[in-house]
Amino acid sequence: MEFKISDKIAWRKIDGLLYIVTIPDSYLHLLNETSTLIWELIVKDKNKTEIVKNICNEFDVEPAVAEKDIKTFLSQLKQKGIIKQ
Amino acid sequence: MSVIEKFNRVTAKKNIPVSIMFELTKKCNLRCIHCYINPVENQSTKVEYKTELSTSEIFNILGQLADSGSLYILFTGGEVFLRGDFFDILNYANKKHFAITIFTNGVFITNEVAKKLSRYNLVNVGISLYSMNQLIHDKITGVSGSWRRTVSAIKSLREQNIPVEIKTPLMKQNFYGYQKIIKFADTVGAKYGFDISLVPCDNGDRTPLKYRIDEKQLRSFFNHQGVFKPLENNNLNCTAGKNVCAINCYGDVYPCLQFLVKFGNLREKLFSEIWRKNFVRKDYLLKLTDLTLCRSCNLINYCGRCPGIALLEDGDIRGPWSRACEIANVSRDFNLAKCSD
Repeated sequence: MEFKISDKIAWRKIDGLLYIVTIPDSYLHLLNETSTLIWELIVKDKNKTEIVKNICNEFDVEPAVAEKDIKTFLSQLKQKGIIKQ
Repeated sequence: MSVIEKFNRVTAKKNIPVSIMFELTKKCNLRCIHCYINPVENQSTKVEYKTELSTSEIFNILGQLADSGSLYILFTGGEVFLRGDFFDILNYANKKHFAITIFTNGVFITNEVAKKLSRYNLVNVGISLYSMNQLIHDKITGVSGSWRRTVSAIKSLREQNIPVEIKTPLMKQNFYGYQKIIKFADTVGAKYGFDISLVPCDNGDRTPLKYRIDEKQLRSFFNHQGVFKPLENNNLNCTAGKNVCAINCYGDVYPCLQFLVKFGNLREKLFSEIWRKNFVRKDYLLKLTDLTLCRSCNLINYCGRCPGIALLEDGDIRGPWSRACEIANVSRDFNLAKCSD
């Protein structure tokens, strides 16, 4: 698995968007529609290439742009301790 | 709008039960004088007259709740650590990605248990501590040695960096000296909260009410604890039954553990059926306009009315909760005095 979801988070998809609670600070994070889709791909054990491909299929975006945005997003998740690589 | 505000607004509007109070047992190892649980039911030595939910029933319910959008779960009792399967339940709740809170008296939390608890997604462990005076605490719990073990539990949990909130109902018995609890909480890095209400037993027995602090003590509490700002445009909104839900240890579903209007039973129906199709809820989830006396009250912005306790204590779900009126009155006086300083 390329990305591992941290053991110290709680999460739920509510009304189409993903809410994540980080432990122990109890901070509630909200992902937008695109980020929620990326999250679901991470949960399905997809690697970065597959995630980029899925996002390009779903939204009208160039692969290079998608790759850059996804990289930024994943790095933010990593920084917040939500995923590990 | 902050993420939390959006979360609360969306889920209340769409009736998504994001926050669940799950009572796992009524049995308890302590005999606290003010406890709201029917005294016949919390005695672990007595024969049960109803069977509490089994491990597999609880797993099934947790699965249904996750599918319904529940994110926050509070495990409470009785005393949750009296269940031999409590760690199995925690494991399952973790697996289902819940953010978990535990309410406990802490008596069973040793260093080893605290270490084990640190593996779970605990956002809070609420521990009842009544005094920093061992004799006063033990007299309230009815069990000698309980203070020592509860204080030790708080320290052990904090050593594991587990968030702890010390919960203290303020009563005539423990009113003097409550500030020592604040000092202790600050020392160990715990939060603290004082309950100045006290509520009747869930069978309607009013015994706990005689321990309530009186008006003089209420005024002293407000003076020492600083400014309680009035709310703005308080509509006495309670989200119980909207995005908050409670389940007791027999599988009965309620809007809240203190709002005892039964929606249904999980041994008879699925959670989604009870939650979505319940017609009682529509009758009981009131708007400000339904509260004929409270809506025009000049204390409204100081009021913390609870519809469940208004029903239980004063007998009218649409009427005032008398204790909230008393507290609001003191709060208003305190704020007015502050403003004129």
